[in-house]
Amino acid sequence: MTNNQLMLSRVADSLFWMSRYLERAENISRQLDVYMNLNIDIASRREEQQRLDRLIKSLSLPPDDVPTDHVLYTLTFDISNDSSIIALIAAGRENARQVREQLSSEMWMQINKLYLHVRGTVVDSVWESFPHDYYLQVRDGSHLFQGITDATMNHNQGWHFIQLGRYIERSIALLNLLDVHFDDAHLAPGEEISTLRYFELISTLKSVTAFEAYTKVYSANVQSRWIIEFLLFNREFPHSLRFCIDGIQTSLNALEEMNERARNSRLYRLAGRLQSQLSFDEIEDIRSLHDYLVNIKHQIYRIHDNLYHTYISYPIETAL
Amino acid sequence: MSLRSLTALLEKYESPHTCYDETFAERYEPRPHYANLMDRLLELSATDLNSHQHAADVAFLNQGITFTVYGDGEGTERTFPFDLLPRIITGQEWDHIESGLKQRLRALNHFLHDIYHEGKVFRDKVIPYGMVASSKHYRREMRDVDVPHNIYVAICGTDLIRMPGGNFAVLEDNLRVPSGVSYMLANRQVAKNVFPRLFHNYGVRPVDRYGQALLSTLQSFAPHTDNPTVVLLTPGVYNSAYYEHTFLARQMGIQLVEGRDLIVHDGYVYMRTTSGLKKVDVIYRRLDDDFLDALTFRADTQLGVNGLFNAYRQGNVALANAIGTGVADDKAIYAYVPSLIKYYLGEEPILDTVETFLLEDDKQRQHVIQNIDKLVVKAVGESGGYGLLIGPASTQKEREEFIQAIEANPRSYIAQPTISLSSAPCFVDNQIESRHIDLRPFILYGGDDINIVPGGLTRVALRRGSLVVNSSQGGGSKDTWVLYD
Repeated sequence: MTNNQLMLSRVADSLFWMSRYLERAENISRQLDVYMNLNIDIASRREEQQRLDRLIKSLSLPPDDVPTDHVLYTLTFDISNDSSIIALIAAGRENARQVREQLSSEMWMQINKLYLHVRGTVVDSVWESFPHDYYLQVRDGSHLFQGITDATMNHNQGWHFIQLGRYIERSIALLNLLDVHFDDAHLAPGEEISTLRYFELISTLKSVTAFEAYTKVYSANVQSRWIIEFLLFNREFPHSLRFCIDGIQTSLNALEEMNERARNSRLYRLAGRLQSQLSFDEIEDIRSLHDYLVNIKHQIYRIHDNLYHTYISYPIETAL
Repeated sequence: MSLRSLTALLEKYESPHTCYDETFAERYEPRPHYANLMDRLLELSATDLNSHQHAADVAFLNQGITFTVYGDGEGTERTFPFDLLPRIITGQEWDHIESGLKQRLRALNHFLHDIYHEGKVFRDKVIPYGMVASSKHYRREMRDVDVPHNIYVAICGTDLIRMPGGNFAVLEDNLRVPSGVSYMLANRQVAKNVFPRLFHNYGVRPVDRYGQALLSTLQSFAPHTDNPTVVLLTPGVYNSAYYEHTFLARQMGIQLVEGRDLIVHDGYVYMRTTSGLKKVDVIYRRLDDDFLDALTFRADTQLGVNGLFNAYRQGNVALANAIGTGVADDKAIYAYVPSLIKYYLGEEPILDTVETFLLEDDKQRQHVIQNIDKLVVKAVGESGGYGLLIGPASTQKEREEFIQAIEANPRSYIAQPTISLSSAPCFVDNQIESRHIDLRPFILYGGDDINIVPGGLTRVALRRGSLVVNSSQGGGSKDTWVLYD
């Protein structure tokens, strides 16, 4: 292996987290946007409160970061809250800054621009007008960064760590979302859908950009069971769990190709097992939705831990 | 040519009487090598220049070409202000500068080898041993350590000023971890965008190969020649020159490492990679001596690598620059450099130096204290414009504080006459005004020879009348055009 293909463990760590933080910022901005949108249409105070509780639960924030009041404002603009969009973009950009020489100039410029944009935005004027445009800019900024990354960076080890960060973050966020919005009753076919429920289901789909993709497969006939099936097992939709796990598997295989030491490690058995589980499981197999989601989440956590043990925080004796 | 009637831009331009004006020989009379630039300026309005300036500022900000300023809270990132108008140096002037810099760097390297080995220079009474041993940057640990090719200073950035008479003089040598070369390269890119045709027709020598030249310089120090691994060691993202570290690592295609990425095992240095540990042969370290190895130097730091000095002593890894070079850019030792050039090379110094008063000498100290309002006083071990008193611009209180400090610790200060740096036109607030500038060329000394890219960083004191050009003190910079003839 030539020097240029080597990658410092610290750099892999920073790229991974850069990607995770950006994905998380994008996810939160999408969910906040959808939530605000939903409240324009119809809202009793109680429903609004329930939605807000669900929103916070599905974001699965660390306890310290859960806002007590001004929830949306805090999660959007409060830099002192580590889970706010602005803090996440700052953290993503800080990780990028730590490894600038690994990024293409275009990537750095894009993430820096996004950061300067959110830092420079006049908060009150955004808040008084409708913040939809603001959330849209965050998402566009993140999408643009992903596009620039794919188009300008060598698809080397670093690129694969970026993919891993994105897909691990995305799959965990999806599992949390499903866990909050659905329970075992939703697994049964033939659900009666009230108007209110219809709006909520559509919003759930939209909060993972899945509405249009869903209708292409199931038509506009919205059913919880099909949504769960779609978001867990569809292999073509970039925000489905299966797609994410395939992405993780692909990048892990690519890393294994590039690193002699990593061959046949536990990491690959874990990832392979999860991937094959998702390619064979069907919605009928799910007895308890919550247990199913939690089980998969734990498998992903173990993949994450083993990724670190294999490439980043390995003991010195194993690597000489 | 009369510029007076043609442009409003120059209306307020006045060259200071006390210094050399780089551009104008007389009011509205540009020197010949500036004539074409001035012609081009006549075609532009303040609005045109403003839009160029804006485009340049945005380019710097979006590329993140920033430095960090200490002391105002959390370490703010700022862009280094860029002035649109290039500074131009003729081929003849450059040839003189180049030969002077090479001569000086050779002599300083002989000096470093000598003081860390036989010490002939002390026996021959060219410089007192106490002067060297008392330098803050003298490293006793380097006694009898051999460095590859006997080259201590491989990477050097020397600050030159132009004296009122038009001659260039060395203001100080930066022999430890000089910075600024990335701005030289970035300024060139921007200047080419601003004045593409003009640049093309001017006959400017290129600076673009610096990265390649730096890499081969570094490789020449490797303990073996079989595809050596070179890395750049940075203190990390909070260092003021971090942008430059990333930039250079990328230009050279080498790993940018921090102390925590490196491990010393059995006398060799390794870096921690996703593919396991990888041996490192040459370290371009942008970290001061003190922070390199907590086992040998300062113990209260985690920026360096434990055991690095041991691996270095054994010759298993090369460092550029070597450890202990700072003794030769001590501002008191600066006063001896002309004698050192004569002593080691048997040549007359090509470049002038600035008269320097050493304050351990009673007579000189009395003179300085009596005339402190006319002099510049500098702390010998500091850089970046810190620890500086400019007599004519100082308050009574500041002068008294410096006098006290001098009397308490005379070895720690030197004094020099206040020299008006040369001035050049700069675009400031919709007008072209005169500002003071200096020049920092970048010199590389590898196993083969000394290599200087034609140009350097022209720093500008952006505050009107100010003589301090350091980026940390509100300085800016210009592109530097060295002409073929």
